[in-house]
Amino acid sequence: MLNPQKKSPFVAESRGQVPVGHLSSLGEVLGKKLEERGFDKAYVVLGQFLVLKKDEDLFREWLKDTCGANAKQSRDCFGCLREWCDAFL
Amino acid sequence: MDDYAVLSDSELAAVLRQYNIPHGPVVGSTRKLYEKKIFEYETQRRRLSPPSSSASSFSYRFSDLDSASVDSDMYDLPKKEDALLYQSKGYNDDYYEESYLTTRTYGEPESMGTSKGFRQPSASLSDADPFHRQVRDDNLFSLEEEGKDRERLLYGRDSAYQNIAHYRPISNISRSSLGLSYYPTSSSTSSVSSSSSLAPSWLTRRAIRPEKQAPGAAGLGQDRQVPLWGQVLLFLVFAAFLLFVYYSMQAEDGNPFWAEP
Repeated sequence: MLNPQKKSPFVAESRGQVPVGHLSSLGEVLGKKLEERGFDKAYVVLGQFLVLKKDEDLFREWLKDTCGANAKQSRDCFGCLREWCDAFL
Repeated sequence: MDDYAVLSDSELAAVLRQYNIPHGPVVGSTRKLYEKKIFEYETQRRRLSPPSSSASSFSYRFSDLDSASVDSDMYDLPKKEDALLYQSKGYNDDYYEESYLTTRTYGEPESMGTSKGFRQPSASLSDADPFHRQVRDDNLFSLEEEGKDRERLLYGRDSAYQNIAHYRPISNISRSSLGLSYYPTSSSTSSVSSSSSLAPSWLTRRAIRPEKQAPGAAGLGQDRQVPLWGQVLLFLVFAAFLLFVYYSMQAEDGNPFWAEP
């Protein structure tokens, strides 16, 4: 998903206005599904990630239930959010 | 699953805590997830053991699980145990032993004696012998259960079960002796809880695993016959030998003939 050498856009820019489709591990289709559920911005997904106490299993299960992410997508998304939290929180 | 909808957020959190399911706050977005987790947990628990005995087995399970550590290890080990069983004794032994056992009804002492004697050569099962009788004890009382318990029924009194695949109980012993569930579960937490909810009949066999790990291959505590460094060393020796042969076979410049002309 994210080339670790390349500065990831998610980590680099302000989370404020990043639409959820920019969680590049998820892609457009899943992004749409999340938006329908009310998770329209990346920071809302981040919020859910934090509420689930950054637990990998819980978050990935939630992601799978909410938008139908497969194992790779959920793993990447989780990794992305965890990276961000490690860097900025 | 709708039963949980009537619980308030804090009540739901209390249930999660009771089942030792790792969780965060129960809020609007997480509620459905936790309801689902509780539902899955209870379904598995109901499937694996009767509700009355499960409560008592929990505390036992968790104390024994201390040595179990990570779930991935727990998942790997049953397969390794099975692999060892395959290798160490071969198929025929298992068939022999199991057919011998299933033809005997419970309560005949000579059957246990002879079956024990028969099983002597099988290294990995010799540990299971003292527990076997207790296993049969418990199995007789669990006849009404479904699912995984079906396989344990193979030890039951009913001789009609004789001709069911004989090998399977062995593998179940090995797996159950590790006290592990081999139903695939979606999350590691529920697999931990499900393994903890196995019927108490496998309780006594749990101790096999710490015993078996002690005499295991040196250094890593894994199921290796030859230690890893030994394997690498052997490989290097073999490679060096091959290189030696290769270079010695290369033609040398100079006189190939022994004798001076």
